Amino acid sequence: MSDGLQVTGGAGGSAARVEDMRTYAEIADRIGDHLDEAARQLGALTVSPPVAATTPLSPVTAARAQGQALLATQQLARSLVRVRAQATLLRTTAKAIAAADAVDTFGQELRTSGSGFLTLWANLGLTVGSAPGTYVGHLGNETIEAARSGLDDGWDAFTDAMRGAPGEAGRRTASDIGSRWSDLLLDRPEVTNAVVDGARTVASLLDKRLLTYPETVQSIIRGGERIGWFADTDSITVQEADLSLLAPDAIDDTVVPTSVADLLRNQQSIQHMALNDADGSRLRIVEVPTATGSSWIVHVPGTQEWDPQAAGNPSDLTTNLHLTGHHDAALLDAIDDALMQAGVGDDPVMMVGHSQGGIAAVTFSTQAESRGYNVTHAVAAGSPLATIDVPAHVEVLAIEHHNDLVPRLDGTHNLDRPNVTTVTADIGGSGTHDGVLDPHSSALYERTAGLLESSHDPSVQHVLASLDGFLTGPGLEKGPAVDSGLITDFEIRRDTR
Amino acid sequence: MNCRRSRRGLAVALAMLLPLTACASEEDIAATEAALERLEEQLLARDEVTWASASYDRSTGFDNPSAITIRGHVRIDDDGLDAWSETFLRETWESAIPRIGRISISLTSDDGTESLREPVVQRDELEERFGPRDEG
Repeated sequence: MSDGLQVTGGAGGSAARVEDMRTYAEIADRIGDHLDEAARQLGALTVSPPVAATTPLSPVTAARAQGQALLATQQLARSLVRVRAQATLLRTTAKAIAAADAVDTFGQELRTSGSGFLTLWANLGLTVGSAPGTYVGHLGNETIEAARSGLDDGWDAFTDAMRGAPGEAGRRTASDIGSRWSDLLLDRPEVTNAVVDGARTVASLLDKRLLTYPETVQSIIRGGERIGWFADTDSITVQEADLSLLAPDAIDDTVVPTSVADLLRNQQSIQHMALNDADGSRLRIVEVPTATGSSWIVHVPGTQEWDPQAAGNPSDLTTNLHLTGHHDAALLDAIDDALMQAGVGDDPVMMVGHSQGGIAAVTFSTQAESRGYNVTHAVAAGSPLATIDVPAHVEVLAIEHHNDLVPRLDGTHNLDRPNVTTVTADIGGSGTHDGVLDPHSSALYERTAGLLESSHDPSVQHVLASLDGFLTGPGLEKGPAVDSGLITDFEIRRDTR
Repeated sequence: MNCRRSRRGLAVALAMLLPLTACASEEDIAATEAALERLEEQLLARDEVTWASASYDRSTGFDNPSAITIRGHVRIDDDGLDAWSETFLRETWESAIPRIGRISISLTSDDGTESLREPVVQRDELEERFGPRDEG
């Protein structure tokens, strides 16, 4: 914690410890079985016909041997009892820890959501109560300004200013409310959990049954589809991009990575290019030469388009909803197509993404086997992942900022699982950040990723060590990285109906 | 009172919070873009600077005109990239950008042999290094 990072899950997490206890209990059971068998065989030996036949030849020695054997059998029996007791104790402790963790997680969720709800309602009340006063105040200021302009420039200037005053006062009031809520969300991020829970409650009331988070999103998609929103397509075009056309800023962030921070640089590079593309997005695949062949890193960008009406760019609000609602998304087919075009085959693949890219990266890892790819790792920055059922063979590193509202959009914490390591950094509140989405910036995630290298947390150290096969490339950046032949970008475009 | 409509109204009101809180004003964006353009020209006016780019953060999908990124290629002689980073930071801090929350710096020597990257220098550190800024 001294580095400001809070780590849950992973190899050093609670679930891993519980799993270790269960494994030790199984080992103790097996040792017990062996002791049991040894005691049984020893007991049988003392009364076996060959041994009995030697008794008349040397009765004293035989009696001594039988006494020793009996003693050994008793000792084995005592050891057996101790081993069986240890196994039971381990199993009971594991069960108790798992139950306590579940209660603790539930309590934590309840506290977070409860505190968020109270803050949310108090501030909604405050906003509604103070808005008229704020508006009147701004209108008064605008009137004074109008009077001043009238004195300086005459009657026409005064009437013009007075005509615009109500609108300007409204704009300033909205801006004040926006700033207040922005500061609130930066300082009390649990409000986001409450908003998500509130949306889930509203959807459940409308649906007359308790909905899970993905079901809530599905109901939002269904509602939107009635008015032509959130319509993803089955067809998407994936075309290799010409790297000689990379913008200078995007070249500057291009890297054949040797660290997790480098991964976030490539994210900024493709996000830059995608934002400059009026109607499409971009994927990047980096080939990493290894001793035995190649491993591959796939970069998926974050959301660029917030229009609810789906168009050509698949990195949009529609894909956000389809991914979080556990629907099929055309973006996942685009990743599949790009992997095929790059000739990845069954080499190891690491999926990487920021924001929506992280959701897509981890979701793709759940489908990779059925699509014929060998995804072994996923790194996600600022992504809500809690509802994704990550396969046990995929190692996930999730990086979050405490007051980034995006990873909170699934309303719950990532599960503590041995293969999912979640690192959460506290990066300061409204005193440090301008705007509610600032903590979601990939530049800030790059800085947080840079802190991982010096972390002593066992889960972090384990996951970083496991990334070795992907981060041991030649370590090129900028122009040399672009010219290395190891990087391929793909332009992706949804085929709109 | 129609409860169903009220619930929908509440959901819409909560959804409205995001753009209300996340969108920068168009005036701020226009003023920042103009100031960034002038800053680029100012940085490029030095003989040693062969390329300069000044931009603001859009990585979240929303514009953040107070998170500034400066990139540059410089010919280094006596002054290393550290000194150039300090110069670029100072000039950005003293520029006409309406509000600065943080600055990212990425510099490369003109021959491509050295590079320096500071993904984030926060406002409080900038204030400590260069003094407070008058943002009106």
